[in-house]
Amino acid sequence: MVRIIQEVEPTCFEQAVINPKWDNAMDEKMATLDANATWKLVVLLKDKKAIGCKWVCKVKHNADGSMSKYKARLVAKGYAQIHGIDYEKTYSPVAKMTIIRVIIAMATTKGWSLHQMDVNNVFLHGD
Amino acid sequence: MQAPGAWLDKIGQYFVTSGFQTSNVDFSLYVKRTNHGIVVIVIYVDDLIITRNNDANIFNLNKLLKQKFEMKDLGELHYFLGIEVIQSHKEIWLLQRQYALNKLFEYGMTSCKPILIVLEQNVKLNADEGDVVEDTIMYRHILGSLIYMTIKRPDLSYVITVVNQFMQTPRKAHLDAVRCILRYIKHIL
Repeated sequence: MVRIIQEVEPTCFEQAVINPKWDNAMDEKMATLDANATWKLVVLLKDKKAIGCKWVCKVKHNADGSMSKYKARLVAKGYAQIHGIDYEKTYSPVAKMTIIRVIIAMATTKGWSLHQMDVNNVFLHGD
Repeated sequence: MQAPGAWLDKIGQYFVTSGFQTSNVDFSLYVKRTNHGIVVIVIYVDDLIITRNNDANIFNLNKLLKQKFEMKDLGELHYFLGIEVIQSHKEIWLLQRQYALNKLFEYGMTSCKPILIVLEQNVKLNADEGDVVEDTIMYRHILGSLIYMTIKRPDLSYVITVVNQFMQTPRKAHLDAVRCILRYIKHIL
């Protein structure tokens, strides 16, 4: 069994920047990061380590399989952090499949309709 | 705090101040009961599913959410976590057709011959006979997507538990059985 790659996704910044489509996607991401005031530049404290970051590029598809957009994401190399020192709480709001099925079943029996909303740049929220 | 936790705190607080109750069953489930009706929200990281018995109050809620957070209103639920949802007055249909097609494509099984049975009769799968599959990661990868497909096809559950037992060191016979399941999936598409 062979995995067929439809469109090559660059694995690092150097590969991405030479392709105008990915370069554009990265510019877009930087613009939203700036607009949300995601970070501020500070002097690194003594004995503290900064963690690196990396660009992750993905081709996004629609429900029918057609291509919808080139998406670039800037990620922090969180694996360089140590549990208990750099962070304590790890939790992500992920609903159980059972809950989702129950809600759908309930909506069916009661004749309610289901709606969907989507949050832009979800991980830029916080204080 | 890590980003996903910060996000949950923020939206959770917002829901609680607007009169929602966090469910004890699942922390990503929020319910609000009023004299006019009930609103239920499920959060899956950045996706929200909303349902309620009173059509009027959804529009207010959507407007509030859009104001407070940068949200896109996707209207009626039609695609969620690889599951297609088709709604009518009486029924709600769940489909994983596109997901299955994508997976078949990914594993190079798009043009395979469909078969009518998931598993051959009287096949004894043995843990330590035959050649070990080279790409064990791929084997596990396929099993992962097969498990996901049981959401819509509970009839796959049994065979999947069978091939799942050989996750550690899959052998040729096991991979053949998995191929069989994929061909069956092509048949039921």
